[in-house]
Amino acid sequence: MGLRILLVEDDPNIRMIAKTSLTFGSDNEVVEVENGKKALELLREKDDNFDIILLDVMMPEMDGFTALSQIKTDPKLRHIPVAMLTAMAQKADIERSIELGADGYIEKPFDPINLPKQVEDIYKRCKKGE
Amino acid sequence: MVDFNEILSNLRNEYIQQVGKDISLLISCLKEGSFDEPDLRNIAHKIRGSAGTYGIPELSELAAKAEDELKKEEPSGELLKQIGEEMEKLYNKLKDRG
Repeated sequence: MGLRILLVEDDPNIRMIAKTSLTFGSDNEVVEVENGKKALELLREKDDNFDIILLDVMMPEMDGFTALSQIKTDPKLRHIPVAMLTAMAQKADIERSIELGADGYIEKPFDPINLPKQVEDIYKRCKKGE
Repeated sequence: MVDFNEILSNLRNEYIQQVGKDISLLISCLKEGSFDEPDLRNIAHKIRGSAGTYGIPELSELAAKAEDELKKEEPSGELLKQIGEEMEKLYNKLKDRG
């Protein structure tokens, strides 16, 4: 099963390896944007459908927390599962993400071999809970 | 069939080249004590986050140490210089391997 994934991350090096990992040998489709503002523009203005959003925390223009909060309070968007990409050991970031409605988190640095399974697990868990 | 590990290895070589300019700036600032370079903390933060994902945890750890020290009100110039020197050695090794 292929997922349509919105990857929101400001570092092009992370975007490159995440996209390669998520699309290698699978039907997944990854759309990349570099900050929360662009993600919201895409989600709202283009009315694009995504199965899951991967959202970095520290980004210029609009950080991950602000974007997450806007997604989870928007009736048209809040059904989309959001997994936060958080730096390892940043427990405060994880707690804040959960409070704001994140559906899961993936710690950075992530293992590119395991990333597709981590994303799929969060997606499946959310679908089960609907 | 293309092996994913081979793709990762190629990506890692590409990454080392891509971040070369940033790492060189970080190393020279740390060694010379130029901590007022505006992007310094940001560069350290990005390398901290990305190097581990590319399978270079030693580089990620050094960048983390540098970022944490640079966040302090009075960072230790001696420690940052030492981190810069270690990073330079490691980066040279990585370039040679690639």
